[in-house]
Amino acid sequence: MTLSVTAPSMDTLGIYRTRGLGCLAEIVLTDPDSVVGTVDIVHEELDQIDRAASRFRPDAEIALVHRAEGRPISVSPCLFEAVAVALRVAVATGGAVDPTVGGALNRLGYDRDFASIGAGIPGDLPKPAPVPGWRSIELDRASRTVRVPAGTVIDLGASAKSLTADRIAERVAATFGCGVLVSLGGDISVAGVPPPGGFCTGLADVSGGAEASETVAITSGGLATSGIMSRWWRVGHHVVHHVVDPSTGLPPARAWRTITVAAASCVDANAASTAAMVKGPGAEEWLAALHLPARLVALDGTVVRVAGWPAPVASEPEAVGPVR
Amino acid sequence: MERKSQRPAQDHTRLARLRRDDALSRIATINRSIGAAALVMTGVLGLYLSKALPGHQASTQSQSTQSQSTGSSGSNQLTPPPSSPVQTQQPAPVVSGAS
Repeated sequence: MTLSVTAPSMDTLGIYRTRGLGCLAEIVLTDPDSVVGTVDIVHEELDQIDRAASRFRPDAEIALVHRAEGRPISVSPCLFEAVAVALRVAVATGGAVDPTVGGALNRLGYDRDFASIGAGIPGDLPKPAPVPGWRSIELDRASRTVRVPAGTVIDLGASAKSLTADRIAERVAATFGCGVLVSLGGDISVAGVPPPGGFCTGLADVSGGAEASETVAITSGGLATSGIMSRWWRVGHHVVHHVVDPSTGLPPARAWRTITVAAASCVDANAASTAAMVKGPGAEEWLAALHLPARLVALDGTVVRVAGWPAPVASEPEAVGPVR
Repeated sequence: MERKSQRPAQDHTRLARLRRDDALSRIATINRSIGAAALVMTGVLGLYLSKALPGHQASTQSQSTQSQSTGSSGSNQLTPPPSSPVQTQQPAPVVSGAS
């Protein structure tokens, strides 16, 4: 972990970096004196969601739900909220982002921590088959139970990480009364009073250490990027990535290398960017219809901006280079 | 003679009124029962559907006690940000990319 104080512009910001949920976690504060106090909140939230929802931990709460063979299981408020948010995302995206893709990811070989997959796995792609579908999950808020049909595996990766970013941002802002930006693997949530001009965020194909091709400032809500340039592996001769089309159980056809979306929360931004990857060629029109500002980078590097995403300043390149 | 012939006619009219009032009273009772049954059935059916339809949530809590859910607007639509991002050339402490 890293504690530092930096001055990215005229302002002095406090920054805390650590790792969690398999990615880099970065917290930027307008009050550097609050950095130390923020550390406990960050680790408490990261540990909580990992213990509740990790698909790779046999002792995770979600594993109990899977082992229940279709019986309702009483769960913690954290897991209940994560599943409820995942179902809301499924509804909001018309099923393009579906939490029941866990089994499909397992069949593609993504059944362990990503670092353990290495170069890839032998064999061939599984035959296309739709996932069980989010409608098969039952929640009862009164008894705080979750029921999943036997054999269905839930993957909350897409929404749980963004939910955690939103939770940390809101808690830190409420506790210390300062502006805060939380980035979990490039899924960003902003809360509190931002610095003058907003929080600056670089945009790149891959989060964490990559050189930004464009920089924007945001003052509230969330920003998230989905893409095929990270978390990909080989199944036999096929290159696959972690975004799965629920209608086939396989990665969607490659239409965009990255899609960045701004929304009212990190959850909504992540849901929109992931769904847009699944929708492929129809993503541009879909995002515009929802009035979600978005930046889509095509496979050849062409940048498309929709719904008020700002044009680059003069010195920045319009295209960022083709996919190798 | 006139009074004697009017008497049966008055009795007949009175009897008819009593029958009419009795029938109206029965209809009013039936209407009230139907209304009450419809209200009860609507509630029972609503509760059943909220529990029976998969992928949906049943709740007995008030709206205010459910609003703890963070990071989402609670609606079933994706919500645009209050303001769009703006371009800048300031150095950025974080980078958003695929992870």
